[in-house]
Amino acid sequence: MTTQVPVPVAGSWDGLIAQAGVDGTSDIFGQLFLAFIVAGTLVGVVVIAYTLQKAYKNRSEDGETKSDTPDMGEIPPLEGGGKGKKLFLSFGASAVIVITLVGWTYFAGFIPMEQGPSEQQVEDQLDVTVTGFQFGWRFNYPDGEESLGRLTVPNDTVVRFDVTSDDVMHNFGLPYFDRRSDAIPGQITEMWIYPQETGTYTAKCYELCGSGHSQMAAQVEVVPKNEFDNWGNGTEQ
Amino acid sequence: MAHAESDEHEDHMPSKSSIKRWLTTTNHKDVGILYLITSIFYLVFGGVLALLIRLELLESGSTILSGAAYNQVVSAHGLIMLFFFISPFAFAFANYFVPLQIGAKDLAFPRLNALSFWLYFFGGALFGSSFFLGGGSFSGGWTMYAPLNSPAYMPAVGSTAAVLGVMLFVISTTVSSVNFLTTLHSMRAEGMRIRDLPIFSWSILLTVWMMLFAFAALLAALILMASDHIIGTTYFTTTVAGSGSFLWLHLFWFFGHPEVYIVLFPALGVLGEIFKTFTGNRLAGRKWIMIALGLVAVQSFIVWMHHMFLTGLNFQTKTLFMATTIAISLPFDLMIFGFIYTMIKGKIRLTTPMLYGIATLVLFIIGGITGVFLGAIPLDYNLRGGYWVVAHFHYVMFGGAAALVGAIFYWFPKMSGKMYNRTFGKIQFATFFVGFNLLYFPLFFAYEMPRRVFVYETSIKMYHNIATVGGFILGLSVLMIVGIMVHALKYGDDAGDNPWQAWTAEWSVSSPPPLENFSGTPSFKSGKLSMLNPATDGSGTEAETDGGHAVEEEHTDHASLTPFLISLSMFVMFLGLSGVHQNVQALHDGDPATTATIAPLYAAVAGIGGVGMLLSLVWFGFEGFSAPAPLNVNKWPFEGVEQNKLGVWIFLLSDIVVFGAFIGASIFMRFAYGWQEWYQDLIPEAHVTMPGLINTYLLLTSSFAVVMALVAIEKNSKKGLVGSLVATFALATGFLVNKGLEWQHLFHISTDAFPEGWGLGTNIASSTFYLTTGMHGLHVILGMLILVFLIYRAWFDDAYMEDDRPVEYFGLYWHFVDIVWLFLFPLFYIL
Amino acid sequence: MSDSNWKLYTAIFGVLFVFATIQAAVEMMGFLDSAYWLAVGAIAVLSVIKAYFVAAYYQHLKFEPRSVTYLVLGGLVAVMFLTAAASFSIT
Repeated sequence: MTTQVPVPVAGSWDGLIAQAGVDGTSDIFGQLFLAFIVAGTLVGVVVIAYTLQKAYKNRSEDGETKSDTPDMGEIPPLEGGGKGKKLFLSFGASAVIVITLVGWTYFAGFIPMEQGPSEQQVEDQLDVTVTGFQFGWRFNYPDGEESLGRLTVPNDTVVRFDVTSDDVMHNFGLPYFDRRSDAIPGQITEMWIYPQETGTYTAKCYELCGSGHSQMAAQVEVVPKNEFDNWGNGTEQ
Repeated sequence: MAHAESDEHEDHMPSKSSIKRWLTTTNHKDVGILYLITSIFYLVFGGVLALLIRLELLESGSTILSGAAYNQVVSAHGLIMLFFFISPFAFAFANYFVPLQIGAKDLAFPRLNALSFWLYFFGGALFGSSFFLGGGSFSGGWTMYAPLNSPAYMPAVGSTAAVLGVMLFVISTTVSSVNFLTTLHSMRAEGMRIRDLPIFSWSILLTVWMMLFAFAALLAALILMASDHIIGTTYFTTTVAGSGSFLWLHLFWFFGHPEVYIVLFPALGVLGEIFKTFTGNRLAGRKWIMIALGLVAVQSFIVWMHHMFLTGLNFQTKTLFMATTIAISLPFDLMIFGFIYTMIKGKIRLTTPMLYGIATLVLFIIGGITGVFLGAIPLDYNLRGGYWVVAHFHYVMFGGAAALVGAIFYWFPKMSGKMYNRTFGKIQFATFFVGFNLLYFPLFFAYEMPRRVFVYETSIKMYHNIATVGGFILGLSVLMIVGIMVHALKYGDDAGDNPWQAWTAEWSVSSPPPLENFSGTPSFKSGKLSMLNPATDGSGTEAETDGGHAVEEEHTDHASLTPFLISLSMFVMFLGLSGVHQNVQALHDGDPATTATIAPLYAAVAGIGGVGMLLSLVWFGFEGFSAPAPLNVNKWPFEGVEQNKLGVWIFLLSDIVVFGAFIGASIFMRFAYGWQEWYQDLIPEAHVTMPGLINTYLLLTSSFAVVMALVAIEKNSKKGLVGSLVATFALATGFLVNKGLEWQHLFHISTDAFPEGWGLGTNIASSTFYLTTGMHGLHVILGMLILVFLIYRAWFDDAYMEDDRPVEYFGLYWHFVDIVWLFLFPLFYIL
Repeated sequence: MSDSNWKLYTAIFGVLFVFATIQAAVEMMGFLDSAYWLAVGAIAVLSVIKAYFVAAYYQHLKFEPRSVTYLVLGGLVAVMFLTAAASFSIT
C-alpha cells in the first residue's frame, strides 16, 4: 500500500473504511482476495483432511458392511443418530466464517467502492466515457477529445468511467486495477480507479461479444500528471 | 424373484432387442435407459467440443479455430453439457429409480414420460443439426446474452435452430416436471409420507419443483428470443435504459440460478444414497439435510441478481442480493457436514461408487469455497467474466456430475443385473479424479483471463497446458466408463439382487427389476417395505390399496409410437421455423431472390411438421393406451385431488409462470421506457379499447358456456353438453376473428407517427402487444383443438355423460386462458 | 351441481360482464387523463376481483383442498417478485 486517503462516510464504519483506503480499488481487492484465499485454504484443508481421515479411519478392512444396517425398505426415523450437536456446531462455525468474511467485504470494500472518493478528499479527478463496440473501445474525454483503442489517464488522479456500448453487451475490464464493469447498450455503468503508478496496461473485454471478442483490447497509459495536462491540450494525437 | 411374472408382462411389449420396443416403450425403466445412453452420447459430444477448446488454448491466439468458430464451440459446449447432458443424465436415474424407491409401478403418465424423452432426443438432434444449417450454430455463449442473441447480430439459420433445439428440450423438462410431481405426490406406496422419501427421491422432488418454475421462465425467455428471430419482434434489441439486455438478464438468471441446483440436487441425492449404503449408517441429521435442501430450493429463486453485480444495479439491490446469496450458502454447509458425519462410526467400504461419493464431497467443498469469493461483491468486481468463474462452476457442476458418474457404478448392477470389474472401476475413478483436478484447478490461477477468449499472456500458458493434459485424461476416463459397462454386459458376473447390502426399496427386487417392479402392492405401513396381496399368477387381481376405484385392465397395450411421432414432427416443424426468418431478413434487405428460394422451402418444412404434429396428436388422443387408472390422491398435501386433476393444475402452474413472465416482460419494458410516455410515444390512436372489450365479453361468455356444459352433464343432457361445447367453440372463433380484424387494421394504419403501419417490429410496445396477446391467442387455438376432440367424442361416442372429468379439466385450462385475458385486457387496451 | 349453483354461476357471469364494462368505461370517460394512478388502481382491483371469481368458482378452487390454491399463489408470487425486483433494480 502506498498512500492512504480516508473516505468520509457517515456512521461508525469510518475506521474500517479508512483502513481500507481508496488508493486504487486494486488494494481493496488485493487485501480482500488475500484474506479469502487464506481463510478459504484453511477451511478447505481442514474440512477435506477431516473428511479423508474419517473415510480412512472408518474403512472396512474385510470389505463387509456393518452387521446392524437398517432393514430393507425401512422408513428411517426422523431423528438422525445423535450427531445433531456436532452438526450444528460445525454449521454454526462455518456460518460465522462466511458471514464475517462477506460482511467484512461489504463494509471494507463494497461501500467505499460504491461511493468512491469524494471530491473534497481527492483534488483531481477525470471523467471518461468508455464505449464498447464490435470490436474495440472508444474513450471520450471531458474536453471533447476522443480516442480509439487507447486510454490515457493521469497518475495520482481518480478516474471515473461511464461505461456503455454501441451495439452488444461488452465488459470493460482493467485487470491491473482489479476492476470490471458491464458495457450495456442504452445504459451507463459507473466505475472508478485511482492509478498510483505510471505505465502501460491493458483493458480487455470480459463479456462474449462476437467473433472478435478475443482480440478486443485497448491500451491503458498512465502518464505523469503534467504530461497528461499537455496531452489534454491537444499536443498529442 | 418374480421372474415368471415379469416374463409374462414382457409379452405385452416388443422384445428388448427390437428397435420397435425402444421407439414405443413407455416403461419408466426403459425410458431411464434411453435417457442414460442419449445423455452419455451428449457427454461425449460436449466433451469433444471441450477438447477442441483445450487444444485451441494450447497456444495463445487463433490456431485451429477462428474467432467465430471458437464462439460456437464454447456456446455449444455449455449448452450441451448443461441441457443435453447433466440434467438428462440425472433423470436417467430419476426415471429408473424414483418409482422403485417409492413403491410405484411406473410414473403417473407413462406416455408423457416417453414424450419427454423423445422431445429431449429431437431437441438434441435439432441442436446438433444447427451446425450444418446456414451460418453455423449459436455463438453467444450458453448464457445467450442480449442483444448479441438477436437476429441483428446473429442472423444465421443455425443459431435460430440451436435456440429452438433448446426450446424443445425445455418443453420436455416441463412435461417431465408435471409427470414427476404428480407421481411423487400421488403414487408413494402406502405408509410413505413425503418426509419418508429416500434422499434421492427427495432431491428429485425438489429438483422437479424448481424445474417447473425455472424452466417456465426460460421457456418464456426463449419464446421472446425466438420471436425476435422468426417473426421480427424487437424485445432484445430495445436499448432504452438498457432494457433489452436487462430483460434477458433477469429472465435468464431467474432461471439460471435455480438451474445450478437443478443440476446439482440429483447429484446430492445420489451422494446421500451412496454414503448411506457404503457407511452402513443412516444419514447424519437426515431431517436437517432434507430441510436444508428444501430451503435452498426456495431460496434459489431470490438470488439471481448476484449474476448481475457488474451491470450497474442500484446499491440497495446489490446489498439485498448479496445478503440472499450468503443466506443460500449456509444450508449447503449443513448438508456437507451431514454427509461427512454420516461416516462417523460407519464401516466404510471404499468401492468405486463410494470413492466417487467422497470425491464429490471434496470437489464440492472446493467449488463451494471458491463460490463464496464470487458472492463478495468487491471480489466479484474483479472475478466475474473470468476464469475464476469457469473453474468454480466446473468444480460445482461437474463436481456434482462426479456423483452421477458414481451413480452409474452404484446402480449399474441393478439396471443390468451384471457386476462390472471392480478393479477397472477404481482405475477409472483414479483417472477421472486426477484428470478433473489437473483440468480445473490450474484455471483458478488464470483468474485474470476473460472467459471465452483464446488470447492470453505467456505467464499463464503453463496453467492452460496442464489443463489441456488434464482434459484429455478426463476424456479418457469417460471412454473408460463406456468400456467398463460394455465389458460388464458381456463378461460380468451376475450381480444379484442386492450386491451392496443397501436398504432402499429398489434393492429388494431382482436385478434388473421386473417390468412392473413389485410382485404385489408395496406398503411401508409397518415401518418397512412389505408386500400386500403378493400376486401369485399375475392374473390381474391387483387390489388397489385405497380409494376403491376401478381395477386396472390387463395390459392391452403399454407401447405407443405417438410420443416419438409427436416429437419427430415437432423437430421437423422447428427445423422449418428456424429458416422462416430468412424471409423476414430478406425482406428487410430487399433481396427477393433469397425470399423466393429459401423461405418457402423452410415454411413448407414447418408446415409439414405442423400437420404431422396435429395428426400424431389426434392419434395420441384416440389410441387405445391402457394407462393406469387415475387415483385419488390420499396423501398430504393434496388429499382428495384426483391424480389427473393434480397434473392439470401443476401444468397450469407452469403456464402461470410462462404467462407471468410475458406480462412481467411487458411491464418491465414499459417501466424502463417510462410508464406514461410509452402510451404517448409508441401506441397509435387507432389502438382503441373496443375490440378488447368485445373480446373480453366473448371470452367470458365462452367460459360460462364451459360451465354450462358441466351443468348439462349433470342434467344428463347430451344435447346440452354438445351445444355448450359448440357454443364455446363458436365464441372462441369470434374472439379470433375479432382479433384478426383488429390486427389487420393496426398493421395497415398510416398516420404521421406510424406511416408504415403498426407491425410486430414497429417498436417495443407493438412487440409486447402482438407477442403477449398472440401467445394468448395460441392458447385459445390449442383449446379449440381440444374442443373439437371433446365435441367429436361427446357426439359420436356418447362420452363424458358418465365421467365428466375430461370436460372439467378442459374447463380448468379454458378458465385459465380466460383469467390471463382479464389481465391482458386492461394492460394492453386500457392503460 | 345443483340448481342454486347454476344460478350462482350465472350471477358471477353477470358480475364479470359488468366489471369488464366498468373497466372500459373508466378509460372512455377520461378518468385516465384526470387521475391516472387512481384509475389504474381501480382497474387493477377490478381485474383481480374478476380473476378471483373465475378461479374460485369456475375453476372451483374454493372447493378444492387449500394446497391447490397455494400452488397457484406460489406461481403468482414468483412472477410478481421477478417483475417487481427487476423493475426496481433498474431505478
